[in-house]
Parts: sequence; structure tokens; C-alpha cells
Amino acid sequence: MSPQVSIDEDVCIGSGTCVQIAPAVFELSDEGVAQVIDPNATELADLHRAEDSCPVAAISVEDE
Amino acid sequence: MAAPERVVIVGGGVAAQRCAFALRKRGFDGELTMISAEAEPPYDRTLLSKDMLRGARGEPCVPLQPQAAYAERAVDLRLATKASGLDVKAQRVALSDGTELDYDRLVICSGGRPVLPAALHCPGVLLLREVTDLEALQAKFADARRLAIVGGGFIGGEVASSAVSRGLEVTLIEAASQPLAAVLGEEVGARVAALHREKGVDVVAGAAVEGIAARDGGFELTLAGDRLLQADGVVVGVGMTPAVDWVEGCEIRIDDGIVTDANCRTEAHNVLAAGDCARWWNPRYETLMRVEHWDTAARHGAAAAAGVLGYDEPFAPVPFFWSDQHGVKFQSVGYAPDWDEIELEDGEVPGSFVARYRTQDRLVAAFAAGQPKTIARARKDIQASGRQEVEA
Repeated sequence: MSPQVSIDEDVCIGSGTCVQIAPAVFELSDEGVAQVIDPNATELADLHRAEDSCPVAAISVEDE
Repeated sequence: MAAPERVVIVGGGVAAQRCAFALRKRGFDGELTMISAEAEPPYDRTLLSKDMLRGARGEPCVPLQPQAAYAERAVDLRLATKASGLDVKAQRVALSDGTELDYDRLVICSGGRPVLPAALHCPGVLLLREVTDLEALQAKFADARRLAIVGGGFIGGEVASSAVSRGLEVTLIEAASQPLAAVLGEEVGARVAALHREKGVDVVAGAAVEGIAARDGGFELTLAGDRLLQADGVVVGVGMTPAVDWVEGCEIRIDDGIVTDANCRTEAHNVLAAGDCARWWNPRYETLMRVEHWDTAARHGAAAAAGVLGYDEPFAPVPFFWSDQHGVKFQSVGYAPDWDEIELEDGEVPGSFVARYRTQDRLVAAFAAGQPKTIARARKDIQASGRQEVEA
């Protein structure tokens, strides 16, 4: 089953950390809020790395 | 009140940038001018003491938006220009280039500047706030062997972390009994100190610095109890002060920052304030607050845009901040000027932990090391517990 990646848009501050780690998965919108383009575009480990590195803890990754 | 046609934003940080972009997003189509004292378009200040100082990224700073984005939104971004005076009756700002700007609404986001107490004055002592400070600090990193950092707060801790990772011998000097003890309590401060020591930082706590002198091409610091410490470089991170001297005497109430209501409005007609320089009424906590966190400043700028346009959208955030030290992410959510008890819980990963601050059995704040999911949950709990009062 593919991982569920969600971003709390009210919390995201657009630091771009997730985009740096997994540019194929995340992108920043014009408003500077991260969005998920394709949750399957990288390894699960990278998704968790993005989740852990988000400064404001706005990303959640469910892989079950 | 007539809709504004000319908005001037003084400031070049995240509050100013978010205010400008939020104004355009919400349909403001009048003249919009941003006055920034810095030479670079608004950039991510939080990275200066983190990735930038570690040398983890190539560029000098990471812009919040490409310069073209300002032109696309018809934002007249004037860099390397300072606001030097304000006439609230005439609704006019004087600029360092000798020109003046009339406004219908003025938003003051002039930020803060690092404090340098008289005892720490000595030529060559470094501070860190702007990208120009970073260049001096990087040069020091390149040629110094022993670095003394005065102040065990978040800036001091991040500089210490970056410096040991670059191979410097680092002494972190904190006047209180533990780093961060005043904001997070003794026990949590002790854990932060332990992390520093484990990574090779010499933490000297309970030692105020009484003087700094230039000595043999380096520095000699005198600590309380006449202890002497030699270093090739000194960085001071002992807090900041609102950069509001340019509006002093302007019929704007200043009391540890520019005082505003919940909609970012100052007592002066058509003048608003947001970010590090503002002390606003936070209805969630029913108190005046000045918060020096990036996350709050960004949201505050957007809230000021609502205030400019006359919307009643009280700014009632739960404060949040983060810090990266020695590869561990610290995150904090909530507002706890004091607390009844702190509950400490270790995480599965060695060194990770969460501290929950409670007042009258209610969770008011949480601080965690390496536990983003715990912080995300705590934020939801804290936001939910305050919501009724805010929305009532």
C-alpha cells in the first residue's frame, strides 16, 4: 500500500526543508505552503526524513 | 473609513514580506511599498545560525521569494533604505535617502537588533542577526581555534553546535544556572547542557561575563569570580531589543515594543505593527505579548494585512519555535511564562525527550527534543484547550 503523506497547511511556514529532502514528492505553492505532488516518488525512509525535519511538525506520514 | 490606496511597510524580514504578499492575495491593488534596511530581499533568517553557519548550503542566504515575485505583485521593494522618521499627523515616513513617502496605512515591521551589554563591548566581538553578520562569523570560523560564546540561549546554542561541527574548541558561557533555565526550567536546561557537553562544547553555567578585553590578537573574558578565559573569537547572543528608536517621540505607545491591539493597530491613526518589534494583545492569553519567533512573525505579518484592509481577525496564535543543535531538533509549542509542574518523558531514541508544562492540571506548553510527532499532538491539544475562550 502506498504511504499517506499529509501536510497541515495552517501549520506549514514554507521553510522548504521537505522540498530539499524529497523534491519529487513536495513542492512549495505560490503562497509558500508545501504541497504533496507524488507520495510514491521516493523511498519511505526519505518521507520519514522529511517528516522529522519539518521545523514546525506539519508533515505526517502513514505507511500502514 | 476609506479603503487604503497607499500602503507602506517598513521592514525587510518575514513579517514585512508576509504582510505584502497577503495584501496582494487578499485583493489590495493600490500602491505597495516595502522599505528594507538590508541589501538582500527578505530571506530566511532562521537558517543563518543553522545551515548557513555550518556551511551546509552554498548560497549566502535563502530568499523567501525570488526577487521577480515582488515585481510580479507590484511591490515596490526598496532595499538598503532605512525609515528615519515618522509624522503620524501628516501620515508620512522619512527615508534615509532623503525622500519621503505618504501613506494611507503604515505597517511597522522593523524587527529587532541584538543586545550588546556595556560589559561586553570590545572591538571584534560578533553578533548574529543579519546575513552581513554571518559573513564576519564565517570568516572567524575559518581562522579561529577557540571560540567563546556568551549566552546559552537558542542563538548561542546553534552557533556552538555549528562551531564544534567545524572543529572549533567552543566554550558556551551562561549567566544562569543552566542554559535556557529561565524559559524551560532547570531540568530541561540541564539536558540541553548535557547534549552540548556530549558533543564537545565546554558549558560554563552560572558565570556572568564581567568584561572582555582585546589581548594578543584575541580576547580575554573576565567571568564572575575573576575567572579568566582566552579565545580567538567571541560571539554574543544574549537577546534582542525591538528596533523602534526611529519612531520614539511619535505619539506611538512603546513599552518593550510597539503596543497594538489584537488587530495589529497602534494608538496612532492608520499605523499598524507586527513581528519582533510589536507587543500585541493576544486574546487567546488575554495579555500583551512580544514573541521573537519566526513562526509568529510570519503569521503576524499576514494578520497585519487583514488589519490594513479593515477585517476583524484577531491575532491569537499559540507560540511555536524550533532550534537545531548537534543534529537534534528542539521544538516548543505553547505559552508558559510560569508553570506548576513539568513532566519529563524520555523518547525511544537516546537523547530524545519531551517536557510537558502544566498549570492547574492543564497542558500549557511542551518542549521536545527529536520528537516532532509528540509536538504536533501537543499543539493540537493546546490549541483545542484555548479555542473556546478565543471564539467566545
